[in-house]
Amino acid sequence: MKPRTSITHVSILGSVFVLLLSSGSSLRAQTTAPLCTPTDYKMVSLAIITIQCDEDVSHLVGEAQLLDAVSGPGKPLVSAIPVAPYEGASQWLTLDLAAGSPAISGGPLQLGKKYTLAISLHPPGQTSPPGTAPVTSQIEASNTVAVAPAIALSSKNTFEFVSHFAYKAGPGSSCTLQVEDFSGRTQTIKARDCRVPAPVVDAAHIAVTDLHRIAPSPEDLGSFILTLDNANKDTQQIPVGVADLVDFTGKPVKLDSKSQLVPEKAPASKDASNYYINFNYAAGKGAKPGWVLDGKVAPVIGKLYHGYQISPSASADVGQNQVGSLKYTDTIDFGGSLVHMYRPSNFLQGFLVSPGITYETDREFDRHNLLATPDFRFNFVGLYNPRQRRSLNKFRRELEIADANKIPWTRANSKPAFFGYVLDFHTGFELGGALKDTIVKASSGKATLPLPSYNIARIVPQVHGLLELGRFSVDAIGYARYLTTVENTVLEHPDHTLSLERLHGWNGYGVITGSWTFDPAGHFAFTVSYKDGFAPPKFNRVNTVQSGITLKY
Amino acid sequence: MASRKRLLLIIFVAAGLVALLFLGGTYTYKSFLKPMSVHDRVTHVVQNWARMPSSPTDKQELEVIWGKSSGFEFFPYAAQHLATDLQNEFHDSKKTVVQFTDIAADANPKGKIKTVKDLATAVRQNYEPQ
Repeated sequence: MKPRTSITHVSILGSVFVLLLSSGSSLRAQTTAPLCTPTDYKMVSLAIITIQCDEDVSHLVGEAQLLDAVSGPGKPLVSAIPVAPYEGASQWLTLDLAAGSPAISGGPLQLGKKYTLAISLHPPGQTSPPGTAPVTSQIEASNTVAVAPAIALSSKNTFEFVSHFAYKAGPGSSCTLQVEDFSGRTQTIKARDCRVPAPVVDAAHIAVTDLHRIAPSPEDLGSFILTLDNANKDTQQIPVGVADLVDFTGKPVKLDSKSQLVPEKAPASKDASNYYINFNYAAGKGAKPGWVLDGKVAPVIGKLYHGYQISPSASADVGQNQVGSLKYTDTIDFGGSLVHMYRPSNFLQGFLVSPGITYETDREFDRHNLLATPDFRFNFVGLYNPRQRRSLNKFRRELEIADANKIPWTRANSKPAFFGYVLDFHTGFELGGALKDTIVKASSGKATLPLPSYNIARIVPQVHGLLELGRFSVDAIGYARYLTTVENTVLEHPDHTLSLERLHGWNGYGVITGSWTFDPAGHFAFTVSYKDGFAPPKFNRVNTVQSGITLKY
Repeated sequence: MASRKRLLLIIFVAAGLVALLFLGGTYTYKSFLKPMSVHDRVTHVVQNWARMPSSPTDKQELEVIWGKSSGFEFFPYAAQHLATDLQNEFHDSKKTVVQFTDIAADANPKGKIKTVKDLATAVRQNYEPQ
């Protein structure tokens, strides 16, 4: 099995390589796109059918024939069926069988029978070119219902009951669903928000021209949606029936025996939370190594509020065993922010506004700073080109060529781009103060010193850059923090004595991180970081190299 | 006589203006608007969101579409924009039509909405006009 797969893979890759060398436009000219590729159909009455195409057919009209699917081609059951676009639904066509068979009252379709539709399409005022094969579609006059979970995971326990037959009526807002488990036990489950979005109350007298008013979305014909009050997720339940759900003929619908009430589940392998953990051993000149934990957790929770997202966050850059005179930032932040990305212009493509609040402390919890931290990020045109985006663009170009030549092509077939880069700029502010006077203790010995409270008003411009070369990347961030007010800090000296310092003006801080990812997705990496400068709240001098393992999702 | 005619003309014009302003303020013109399917409305929103010259096809992946025009990350920021644009389009819906966390991305593997068709289906399943 293995060699066959690889041969197929090689042949596909080879084909696309040849295709990439050729011009896309000349390749497209070789194929003629079909006018309609039928994908779905709905029966609104025994005389009206709607057909969905993959293509936009809003500019096409035509004629159709209804054939018996069993006896095959021969004399059509109904001919000269007018075909028109479904108003407001660009992929749908309407077929008025009554106009093609006025003698048959109610319509020519018979319940339970299978048919073939042969449709000839052309722009209005024209005819189909001679020799053009009609589009064929197989249909069955059956009111069988398939049950599927709602596609959005946030629509928990919501299911759609889809039929090719339009429904006449549903059970009302509250309903009960009859289910059977694999042992044959029958029970009822209560459901809420039960609705038929497009009921066809009087199918016998409906006209094609009324369709768009009854169902602006043709997909709503034959759609019944409910949300289970309390689904039993441990048991795979087979829905047997829904009381009072009837098709357009007034008959109760038949649920597909293959349907199960299995809610849509997220892939179990990964969690959506955004977290970053970097564990390092640090080494400095003339000192024994220590450990450093640099981590950040910022899950996306809740809904959007007027386009803003609430994002709580916690980050820490702490360590033990200070390496001689070289120290870590010793920062722990808890907070949250509201985040919204604006799209101002084609030049400034992204403007990220994130007003937030941060409680800033250190590992000893002897600092208590509360800050308002509004931050503004600027994404200029051409400066956001990470490998991921370049890979997607490359895949999109390949897919266009592959589609034109009917070659199956997925993202797994496309080789990721090798090179990528990002450059963005921030302007931030840190406004607040140290909440109260505290006593700072030395990390070793008995020295203590009071740290008086103070006000904080900092301007924080930042530049962030990322360069990616395959699995290797360099990420650099530079802060130029300007302290507009005098801030107090207690510094610990190598002999573990303490001194009170008063800080003002510029305090720069920069981090350059080189990473080598182990996995293609870039979740695990070996990193080496160089940190240099003065970081709050202590503003002690940091000048260190750290290496370790990073886990990032 | 001429001044009387002019006065009548002014009165008629003023009355016409008042009537137009009244209609403009109270009448929604909804009956004149053609209904459009949820699918087509979603497709238009995606086209505007990605600043595409033509409508996207059903099979196109949202993250791939965004890759062409993006100036920032698809997830969460562009996905949030798309969710907001859809909520504005379907502002008369009882429920939120789509949450951005439902949109699949390399950075959000738990999302199930990958393609334009998935998005149109999700919106249709949640859209309940008031």
